[in-house]
Amino acid sequence: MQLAFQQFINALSLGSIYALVALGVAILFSILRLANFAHGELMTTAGFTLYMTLASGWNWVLAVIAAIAASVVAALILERVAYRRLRNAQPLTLLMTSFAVSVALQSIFLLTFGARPKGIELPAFVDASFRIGGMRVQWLDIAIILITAAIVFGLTLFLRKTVIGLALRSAADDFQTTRLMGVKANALFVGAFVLSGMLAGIAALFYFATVPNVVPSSGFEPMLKGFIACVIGGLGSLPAAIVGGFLLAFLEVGSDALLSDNFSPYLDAIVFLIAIVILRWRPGGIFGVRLTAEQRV
Amino acid sequence: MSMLSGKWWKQSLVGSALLLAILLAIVAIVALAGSTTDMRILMVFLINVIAAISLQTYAGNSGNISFGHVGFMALGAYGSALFTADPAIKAIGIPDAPAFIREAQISFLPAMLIGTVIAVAVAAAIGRVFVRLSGAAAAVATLGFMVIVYTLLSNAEQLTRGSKAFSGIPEYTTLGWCVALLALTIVVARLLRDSNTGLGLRACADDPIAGQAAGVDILNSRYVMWVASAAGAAIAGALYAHYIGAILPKAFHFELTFVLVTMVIVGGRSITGAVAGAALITILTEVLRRLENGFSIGSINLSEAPGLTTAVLALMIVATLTIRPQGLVSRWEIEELLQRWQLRQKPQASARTEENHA
Repeated sequence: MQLAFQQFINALSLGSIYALVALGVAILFSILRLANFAHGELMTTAGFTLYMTLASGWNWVLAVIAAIAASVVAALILERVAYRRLRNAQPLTLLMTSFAVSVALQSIFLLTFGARPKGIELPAFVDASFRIGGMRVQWLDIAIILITAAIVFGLTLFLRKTVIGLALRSAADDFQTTRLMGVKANALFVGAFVLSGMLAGIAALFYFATVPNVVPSSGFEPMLKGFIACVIGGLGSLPAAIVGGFLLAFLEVGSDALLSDNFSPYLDAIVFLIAIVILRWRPGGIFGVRLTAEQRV
Repeated sequence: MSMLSGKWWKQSLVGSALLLAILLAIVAIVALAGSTTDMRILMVFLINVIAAISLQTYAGNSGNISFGHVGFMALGAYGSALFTADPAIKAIGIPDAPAFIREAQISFLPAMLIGTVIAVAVAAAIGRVFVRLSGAAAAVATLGFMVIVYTLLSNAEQLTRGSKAFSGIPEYTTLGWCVALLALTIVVARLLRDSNTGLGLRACADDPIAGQAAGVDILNSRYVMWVASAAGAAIAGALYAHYIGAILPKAFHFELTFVLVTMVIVGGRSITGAVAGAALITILTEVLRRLENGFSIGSINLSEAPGLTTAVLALMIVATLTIRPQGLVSRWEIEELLQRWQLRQKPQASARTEENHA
């Protein structure tokens, strides 16, 4: 029972990270139809910023702000340099561009920081924990879960109650009509990329607080998990991305708890296989979101 | 299409012959004038072309990209390597493997067939999932498949030595094998592409509703291409394993996926495109590598900068896609490109003769 509760907290905390990554991916996809494989590298950018600032003795609050800012700036640079020209390109070309951008950024990180893992000097409170009835619970996990809940709530309010949010939601529905209503296309792009970059930065904070070292390819694994979460939830819908993130985390923690230790190296393979089995029955994801004519096959 | 022949397969064979002639010319030039290093690059290029054409057989026809074909290459490579390596080496490297693998030592062709059959069986088992997906969902799910294969291979230590290199693979891959299998791949890929299945599928990639209304079974057509392309990828993987002589799961991961998919996308949506893309990427990589060794900018010694080649290559790919989003040859095959070129020449020629008359 105690073990089950602890695993539950673990899954919720892991699910929060996946959900944040998936949200960042889903925002770009729903509004711009862009599958941004470089999302992981935005997280790596935040990770290296965190490493550099903390190593040079910054206060952790400043380091956190710097990391999120770095990831937002990186997202804006990507938008300006790589994606703005390709607005009318084929989806496959866009996909490939984001893949190439991801590889380019990884190589640039390798060039700048080398291949050796850089340990992030986390402040001591990250390891703090408390006990309820004999169980040890990390404050970090509680913080991750609560902050993620707050972010999801805030994002919902932003998208529902502000004019910018309305513009973004209507662009997700029909980009051309939104432009005809007087919303600048560039503003939509910038807005979507800022949101996505912020979510990547925050997800990176949580991710690197649990895995406190960063290598050039750090972003690949959380990016892939976030994308798979999006796909099994239903690509293009924000609530589906969140549900997909938690589902993936519960599958992962659940398989780890149920299977013997011999299988734990194969965990990723098992979880992805389950995801593929889900896709076999629901190709549009669990929620089977509405697909455009080109996608409906 | 009617310009060459009414029978569709005749045009496929003519196109294959043209493509093969160009590749053979390249092979001949390098074999006569190139150094040993050039020959190594040529061999890797030929193997990459086989892999790229195989991937194109799925991607170019269905309009869906696959990031999972490197997984099939890995299955082909390990499948073939396991049954050909010297039993004495296997007794040390993988002592816990089943006896029929540990003691096996068969020749190249049957081993390659075993690897291919494994890949085809896996492709057939999971293919139904991927053919139902499209666009970004297909890309992500196939990437997941690649990671599954990688995770399995790098942890199955009893069979593959895990993440350590599996060495002692006999180096059977010769230029002859490469050229012969390349010819086979090109012909089969062209026949599949120009067949009713391929034509219908390509029509559906352009307009799924009209295509299906015209009676194309999009899922089954995609499934055929998926399984066929997995077989081709496995052959390329086996050739690679028996050329390098040592393989490790890391060799069949993100980097190779990127290289292969780039060749296909930069090239365009035809078999000729896959070859053109493979050639361009190989040339770019080699030029960059040589620049890296030969020059230094100021105090920065570029040869000590890992990742620079990849970074520049990736940026060049972004540039290529920005300038030419449809790929180098767009959707055309080589004989179609020649026809279009001739047609472009003709009006000018007739215009010129009219000028002379006046």
